[in-house]
Amino acid sequence: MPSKVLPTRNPDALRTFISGSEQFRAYLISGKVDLLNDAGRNFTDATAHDPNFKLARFYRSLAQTEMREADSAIQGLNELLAEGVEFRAEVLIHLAYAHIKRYTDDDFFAAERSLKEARKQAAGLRRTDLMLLTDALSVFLYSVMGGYFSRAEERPKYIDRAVKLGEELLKGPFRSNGQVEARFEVLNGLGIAHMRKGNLPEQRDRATEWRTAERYFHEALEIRPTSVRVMQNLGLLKGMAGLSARSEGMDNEASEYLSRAKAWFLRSLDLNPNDQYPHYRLSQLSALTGDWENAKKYFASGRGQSGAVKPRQWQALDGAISSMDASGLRW
Amino acid sequence: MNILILLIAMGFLFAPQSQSQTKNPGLDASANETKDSRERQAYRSANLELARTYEQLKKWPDAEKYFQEAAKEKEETVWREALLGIQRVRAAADAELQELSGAQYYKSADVRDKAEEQYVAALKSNSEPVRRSAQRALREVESALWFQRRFDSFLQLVKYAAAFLGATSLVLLIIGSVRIRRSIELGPVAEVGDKASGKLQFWLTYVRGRIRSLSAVPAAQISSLISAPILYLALPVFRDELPDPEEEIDFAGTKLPLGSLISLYVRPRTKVTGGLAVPISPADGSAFASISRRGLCKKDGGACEFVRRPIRAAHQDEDLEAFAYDVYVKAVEAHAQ
Repeated sequence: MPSKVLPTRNPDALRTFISGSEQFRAYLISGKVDLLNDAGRNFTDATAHDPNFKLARFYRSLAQTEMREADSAIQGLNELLAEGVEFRAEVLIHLAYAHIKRYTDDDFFAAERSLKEARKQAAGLRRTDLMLLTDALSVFLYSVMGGYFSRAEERPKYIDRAVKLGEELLKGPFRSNGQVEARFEVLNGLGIAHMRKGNLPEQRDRATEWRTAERYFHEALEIRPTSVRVMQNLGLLKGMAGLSARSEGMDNEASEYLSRAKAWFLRSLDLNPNDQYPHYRLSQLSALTGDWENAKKYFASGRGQSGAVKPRQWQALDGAISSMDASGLRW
Repeated sequence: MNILILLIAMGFLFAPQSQSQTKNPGLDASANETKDSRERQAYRSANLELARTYEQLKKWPDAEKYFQEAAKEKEETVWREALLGIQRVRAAADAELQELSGAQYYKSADVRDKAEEQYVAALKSNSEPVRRSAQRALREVESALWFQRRFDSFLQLVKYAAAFLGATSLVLLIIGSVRIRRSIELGPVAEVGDKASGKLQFWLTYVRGRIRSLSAVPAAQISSLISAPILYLALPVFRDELPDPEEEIDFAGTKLPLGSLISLYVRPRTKVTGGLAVPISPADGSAFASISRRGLCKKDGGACEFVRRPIRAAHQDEDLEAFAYDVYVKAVEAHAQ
């Protein structure tokens, strides 16, 4: 029987959960992955002490999403939804986020469904903070779909949707601290959307789109200076600019952009070395700049981490490193 | 007024001429003597008539002045009447001055309200000098009374404020009592061992503070990615987190010993008592706590919950923390029943 006041009646479960929550909060503030790992362990311990401790299971899923263990997080969140929880809207929002982090078409649609249901739930509860957050995450979802959706011809449609929704949200009031965090999501999403827009083949004015993207990313970083997500997006943006300059024969500019891209990925790696994505990008950047030693090093370190880099992308990188030929690498 | 006096005087001056016009022209010298005497008498009587007129007008100084003039006349009937007039006029003047003197007495005795009343009465006097004196004195008295009345108003306000504060204290006391009745009290903890002092109390407070700190800052303020539900709906308040009631409440000037009454009769809903025997290597210690809920456990003659844990010498802090969590959870559960 659940407690009327406390989320669990098991003192050991409560103790480990409290420790985990403190560590998780500290991780979110500092971005330090050691804290995330400790938090994840404590949440797992708490659920082991009391399997009915739903709040601990929810937090464990949040930590798993952060640890790039999206599959486990999705499973845990779906179980909570099936069992029924008082905080269904929050579970749906985090389920959507975990799906987005898998970067597949099916997951994108699942995320879209979750966000729509979460918004409906939040509206029923008159939780404007959650409604705003679902809208902000929708911007993020569409911006990611603008870069990763399998049918390339449909990507511009999602980019436009992200830009339209994001700019509309930015016009609205963001008052409380919780809304500032939602604003962060909108800014990051808008940055991604403009970055992808600048990278579309038919795009004539890349520079303007990328400048806009960079401005949004920096605004997002002002809200959360330790966000590895924004740092990696800035690294990706500089990498795009570098390869674009190289294709136009501007080698000096290209070199400058690529070194800036490396710097952003290294900054993100300092905070969180457990995500394979910055390792993968650093290996790619090293290969593109002929630094084969570091390309091998980051390839090896990245393979040992969890994340959402697709096997064919690893294979292509492996092939380039083996043949010491980066001409076939796609950014 | 001057015109009136002039007219009266002219009346006297012209009166003999008109009489002479009506008199028989055949009268002789004796008649002329009589005429002179009558003229003199009429002239002398003018002082008397003027005095009488001033007397009627209650102009006591003027009336007295002309009575004095009349008193100097040789005609006996005139000077006798003048002397009587002086007596009358002085008596009347003295009677009016009495109103002023009464007011002056009260003023010198610092009974300003009474003095003000008397001066106001003197303002109705028919005597101009009395009215002027009363006006002058009234201005002085009222300026002194202005400060006194302001001060009295201020004192009145202070009294109202004191009464309001007394009533507010009483209401706060009632609210405080209700909050005490809804709280959990960490009762006396018996500790055995040289190094035991305050340890159990520390861990119980530490755990409570840690749990509360998580709900103090909503997770959504840290990151949008942790839009977590509210962790705790309503954590109970502990007795030591509430202020002690005032020993005495001053209510309308009466000191009520409500603080003592509250200490005696207002009990927290749940009470935790316990003990700790500190472990001394290699022997283990132990900690225990009993949790009783008002109106629920006493019927059974014992505690609602009893918590006991061994405290290992090598893991003393760890075990005490686990024990404190155990006590906290069971106390909160018993409290919520």
